[in-house]
Amino acid sequence: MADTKIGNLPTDVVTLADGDKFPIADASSLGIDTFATALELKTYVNTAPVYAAGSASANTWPKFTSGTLLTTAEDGAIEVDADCFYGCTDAGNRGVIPIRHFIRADAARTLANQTASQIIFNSPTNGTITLETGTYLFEGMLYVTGMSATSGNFQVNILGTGTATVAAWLWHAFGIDSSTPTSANTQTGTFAITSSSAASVVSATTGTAIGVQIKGTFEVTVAGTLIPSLSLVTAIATASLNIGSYFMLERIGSTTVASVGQWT
Amino acid sequence: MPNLKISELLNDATAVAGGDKLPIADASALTINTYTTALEIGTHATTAPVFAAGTASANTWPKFTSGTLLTTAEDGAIERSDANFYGCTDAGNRGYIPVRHFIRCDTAKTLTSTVAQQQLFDSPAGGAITLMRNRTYKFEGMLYITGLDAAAASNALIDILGAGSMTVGQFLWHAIGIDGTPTTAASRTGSFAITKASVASIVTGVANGNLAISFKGSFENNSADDTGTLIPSITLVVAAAGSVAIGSYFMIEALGGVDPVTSVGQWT
Repeated sequence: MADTKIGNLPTDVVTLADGDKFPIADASSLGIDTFATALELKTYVNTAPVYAAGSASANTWPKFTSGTLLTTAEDGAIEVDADCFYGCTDAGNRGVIPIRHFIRADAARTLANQTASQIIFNSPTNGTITLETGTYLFEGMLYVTGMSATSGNFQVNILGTGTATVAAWLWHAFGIDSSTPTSANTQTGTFAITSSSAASVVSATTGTAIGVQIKGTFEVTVAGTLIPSLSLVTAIATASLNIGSYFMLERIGSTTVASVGQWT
Repeated sequence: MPNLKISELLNDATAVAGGDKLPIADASALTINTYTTALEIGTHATTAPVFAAGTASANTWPKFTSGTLLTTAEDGAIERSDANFYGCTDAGNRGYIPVRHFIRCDTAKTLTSTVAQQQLFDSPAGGAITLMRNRTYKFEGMLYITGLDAAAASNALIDILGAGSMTVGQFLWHAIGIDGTPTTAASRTGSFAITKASVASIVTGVANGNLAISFKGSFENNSADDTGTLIPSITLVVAAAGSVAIGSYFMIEALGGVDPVTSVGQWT
């Protein structure tokens, strides 16, 4: 390093090295013959950092840039690829950190009086989510009252009229078709390997309400929308989706992912 | 600040204090009579940071160093213990951030026609995961198997540990499903287990060649070291070359580290 006065430093190093020295005036003694290295400054900045609050404007919140995952996962590392965030608390054993998307009924919603497929959620209005390609894990719970007393309940179609191309479905629905699903009763249900369950999704009875849990996975091979929907077996004007009903999903990898973690 | 030469800076501060002053040449005017403090640099660095992409090489991604969790969880804090990451969006009420490991069938897997125990997954080949000891784990999964013996009113036993080498305990898990035509609405049956293995049959046996189950539970890994493996496995009641369908999966995450783990969050 040239022995140059500060006012005569014309060159930007562009990339700092750990050992690069910064002249500092020490806070306590105001000594002027002191320096700190770039590594020491880095340690200072990364010790108990408090990330400033962002705003609604772009580029105001902390971000990770997606890259190539470590060949050997490192304890404490947070990584991001094109599909997921990953964390590691067990050297070598990387795991997916779920980023969950959901929609739920914050108010009861009267369903349309029809047997044709209809969206389950309407807040926001279209009950639609746009998804990138990848493998997704999903779950949900639906509770509908005011249904017809004719035997039957509804078919659930996770994709609905969405535009995504979706494959590799495997999901399970189970619950109770009864006028009082809040009472202990036999659970019935269906597994599905397509976007739609059987109609009825649980064993049909003449009960006028249904509670059903759903969970499974699918692959989005062509990006597009997903519109969780249902088709009433018997149309009725009083069918109402109960508050608390929800649908949640998270991407767990690419369309070909078979495992994450220290599997051998 | 005097216009010192670099060579006149003899002492390494070693630990930087927030008030330490650094001379700067202002970006716009390149003036030399300005300084910034280390705290100001810290504020600049932590405002909308963009963490650079890492690579496959060691020490290229951001890391949290495990430490002692806050006595009182702080809103917005991300913490790291030996076992987990934690987040807090509700002052005082810390939660763990799941780090999930999973294995799934991206193509159908043909089972060996045997009544001996066999692994459920084979991608990667061993269908085995190595997990840290002294941690409590939560797991879940879904299996859809066709081509089982259609004449026998039975199905299979599921063993979460399988032939794995882990020392496990405190199992509690539940399987629910159907031995029948899984895509047709029917009564669910199932079983709870307090050991690594379910009963055989895991759901009520029916003379049908299909089996579909969902399961969920937790256990502790009490191994003496961190090399113990878990190999989710199946034992068919009647030998058949069944097929584990695409989408079948097993997923596991640590709930906490130091045994016993009884709660995370603002429980009292």
